[in-house]
Amino acid sequence: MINHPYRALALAVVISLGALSAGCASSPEAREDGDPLEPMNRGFHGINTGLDDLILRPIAETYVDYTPEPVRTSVSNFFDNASYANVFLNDFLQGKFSQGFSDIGRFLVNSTVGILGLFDPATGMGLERHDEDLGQTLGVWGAGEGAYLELPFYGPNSVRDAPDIPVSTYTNALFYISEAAVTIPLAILGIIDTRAQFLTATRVRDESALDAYIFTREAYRQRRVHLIYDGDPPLEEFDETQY
Amino acid sequence: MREGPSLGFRGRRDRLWPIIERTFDLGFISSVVSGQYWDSMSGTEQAEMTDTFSALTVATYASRFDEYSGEEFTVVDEKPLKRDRMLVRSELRTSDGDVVQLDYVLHMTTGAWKVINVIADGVSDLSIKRADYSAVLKGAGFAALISRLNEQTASLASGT
Repeated sequence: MINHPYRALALAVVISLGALSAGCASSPEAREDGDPLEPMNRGFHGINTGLDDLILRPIAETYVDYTPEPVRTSVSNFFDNASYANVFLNDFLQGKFSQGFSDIGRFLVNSTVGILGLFDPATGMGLERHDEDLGQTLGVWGAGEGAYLELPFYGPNSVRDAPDIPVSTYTNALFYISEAAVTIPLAILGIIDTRAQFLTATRVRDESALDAYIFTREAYRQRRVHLIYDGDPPLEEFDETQY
Repeated sequence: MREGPSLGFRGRRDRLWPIIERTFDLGFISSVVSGQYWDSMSGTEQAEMTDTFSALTVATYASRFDEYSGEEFTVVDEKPLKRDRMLVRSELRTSDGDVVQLDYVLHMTTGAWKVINVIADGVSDLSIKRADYSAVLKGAGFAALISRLNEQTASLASGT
């Protein structure tokens, strides 16, 4: 029952979020940078960076260096497709019905014709990939970002975005495989694949950031706003609130 | 930059410098990334900040434009913003089909449109730098910021 660690983790996140939001209610986000938990976040950032430097980044770099790009693309496609139910679930929660049906079609085509998602024939058929999750849905519904969070192992997150963690876990097809001989190697490959996709971003960050924690926080927040607006924010977002 | 590899870092930097000075309002950008601390800097400090930041900007572009591998750049849309600003939306498509959405905010200064912000897939360069630099200005002060930016420029120059 390899699923147990996931379940325990999801549960722990839900419980700690409950505690967090209770804590936040008594101390409203008075700080202008919206980061009332900065000391705790920086602690986790230190742990995350240490583990990343020591283990994860070197493995991801080696993986990119030695794995042909078509193979890496198929690996990414596979994990993307396995987790795609979360996308169409949130399409519907956001009222994007035609996008929701298109995304169901995409999932069906890629799971079958695309051989368990390893290939992506759906894009060529006009069923484009979308990026939705529960945090974006809460944003579309009008929820503010809430306190910024840097979670151990997960990295940047926020009070608004963290409820997606259990939801994306339960909507992931791989969650329902109970064969440890399959799930453990898959979980490891999934982590390497995810890290590999961020290698360029973290290289740019490490080149230009004076304080990697602040750089990551600001980039994460802006990226989330961009995703909530599906890449097309209202013009006011480019306006004077910024400078 | 198609001839990037043959030029070397210095060659690219010398070629890009006048282009970047013409295209970007580096004085304005330097004031924004200094956040609330800009107004309390002396005139000399503001000039030093602008020079330091300009050198770093040019070095950053010179180190990233080290090779051309089939990227295609397309302007998608232009929209007027408030306060005589302009938004130019564009896409950079890499040879393996990845698309980066690049949005440029421009304003009119001394009779020419100049870029004041670059936003890549929703991530604003200016906002990140302002948060990052403000934290150093607040904690360690002006001299520390200048020396760290100079270190970054030097390390970009020695990279290739």
